[in-house]
Amino acid sequence: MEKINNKNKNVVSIIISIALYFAMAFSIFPTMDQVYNLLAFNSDEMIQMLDMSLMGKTIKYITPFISSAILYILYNAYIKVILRGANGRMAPFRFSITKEGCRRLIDPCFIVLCILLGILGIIFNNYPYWSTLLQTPLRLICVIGALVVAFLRMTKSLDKVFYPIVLDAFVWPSIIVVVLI
Amino acid sequence: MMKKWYKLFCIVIVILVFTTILCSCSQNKLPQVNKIEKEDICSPLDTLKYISENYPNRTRGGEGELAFINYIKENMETYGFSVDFQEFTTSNVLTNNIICERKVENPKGHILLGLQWDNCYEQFKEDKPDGAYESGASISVALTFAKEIKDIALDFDLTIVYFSDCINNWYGVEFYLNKLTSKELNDIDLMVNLAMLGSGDNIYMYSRDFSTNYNKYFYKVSETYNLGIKNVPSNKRIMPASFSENSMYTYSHIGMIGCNYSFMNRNIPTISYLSINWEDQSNPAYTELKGYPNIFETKNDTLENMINRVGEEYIDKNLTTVLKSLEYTLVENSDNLLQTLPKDRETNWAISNTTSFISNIVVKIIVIGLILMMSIMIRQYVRKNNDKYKKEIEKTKVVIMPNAEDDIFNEDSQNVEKNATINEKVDTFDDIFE
Repeated sequence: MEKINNKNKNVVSIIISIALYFAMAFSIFPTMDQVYNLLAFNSDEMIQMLDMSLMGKTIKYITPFISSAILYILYNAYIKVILRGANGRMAPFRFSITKEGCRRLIDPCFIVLCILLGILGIIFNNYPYWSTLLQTPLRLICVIGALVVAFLRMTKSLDKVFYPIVLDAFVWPSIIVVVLI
Repeated sequence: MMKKWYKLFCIVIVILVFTTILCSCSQNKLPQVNKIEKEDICSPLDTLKYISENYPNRTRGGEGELAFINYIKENMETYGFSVDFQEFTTSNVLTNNIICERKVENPKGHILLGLQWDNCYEQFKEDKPDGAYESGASISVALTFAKEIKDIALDFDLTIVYFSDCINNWYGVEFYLNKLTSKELNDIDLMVNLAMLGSGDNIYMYSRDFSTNYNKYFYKVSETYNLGIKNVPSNKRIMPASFSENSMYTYSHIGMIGCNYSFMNRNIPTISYLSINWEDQSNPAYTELKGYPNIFETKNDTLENMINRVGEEYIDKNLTTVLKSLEYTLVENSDNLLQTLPKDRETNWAISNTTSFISNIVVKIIVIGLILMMSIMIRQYVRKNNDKYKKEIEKTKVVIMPNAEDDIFNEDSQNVEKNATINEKVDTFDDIFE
């Protein structure tokens, strides 16, 4: 029975990972579309190469997936580093978080966050005038929302007394996300 | 508690709805359009053919410059304009803007029609592109427009400026604007730009990235005369960079590729005619003609190529539409148009590049500050309740239960030395919150 449970958990983890990868690609797509548009003013050769060509379309649609692969690797590294830091901070209280457990809780929040950022990107590509002032605050609201949900899910099985400890352990990881968004 | 939130939510929604209604009511009503259909409008196509044939090498500072600027001067003087050359040096070559003015007594306003006259002939000398799409078509429309209004009494000052060195980030336009006094800049009520005309799928009139009354009026005239000018799409296919340090926007798009850009950055109302297919996504940034690669500023920018693609009749119709729109709006309805132009020119701070940069940084700093403040408060709280935490750890011995359905919490994790005693742990806990 335990084996079956573990197997299910692994399948869920893989599905979550794939969903996260695609969500990241979706969130990057509006930005990559803007960068792709810049190529139109590069050089005559570039215009000849990209306009109406399969290469142009390939670059347009493949780049977000390549970028999201890089982002996914960085995300994994980030999770490892923050876990080490957070666990170090929680060590005196004799509890720590496993990597798998953390991923199962944080990944869905990041999937939702990436989808929201992608939707915001599409909206602001259509209404760029409003993006100038609103984009950063709205992105930050999404990030803070995702972090709050992650925190609530993480502390669900924990005694309330230790909520501040977990909260404190995730201060720096939260700041890193806020700076990068 | 829920009821309170529900009430608050309802109040916010009602306020938002009322604000939206009030905002929409406060918009000015557009003036009526005087409809005077003209039958005998000249076609700019013949002029375009003449320019492409006789002045294909009109690159700034190139061999053909002098002959071309003299051709413009002669024609514009015939059409009642006083013409001046504005000489300047760029990229080690001497070149000229051509400033043509038609002043009236007691003008009701000042409209400036701006366009590029040079092309990329020197850059692609072997292929000899005559730049028909890049600038030839615009020049032909401007010349025909000047000819059409020759005998019409205007009630506003009209300046037509043929700008040079536009391929170098509109250096010619910047040079012209930098020479104007702030009063002269302020006196320009509207700048009309002609760019990329003749062979695009549609014609657009782009003014700003937010709604403007004068743009609506241009469209109203176009609808009255059934000119078929298309609305600018909401997805303008933006690029994440601006073309100038003084840019009003943090981004750019094809609507800003033209002489209007420099005027726009100085908060002068602008409107730009351009013939492209803005909706199609086949090419990066914009498509001129669906199913074809773009020719703007390339070696393929020739009249011959344009005719092969769309035919003479199409080019003629395209250029005549722009010409009609100019005549019907600027000449037949100038009074009404001038009413729609903004009276005050306060910079719209919300869209300035610098404001955006600063506000983004400020917002992030505030959020990071709040997180750090929260962290400090937590540490103070934990330190204050030191005893409580010590007791809690002692009480539970092997600490916090992860009753976890997801068992994310590990007892005795790798980070906790297995042989250490509880007391040792509690000591380190003090250090952690120092």
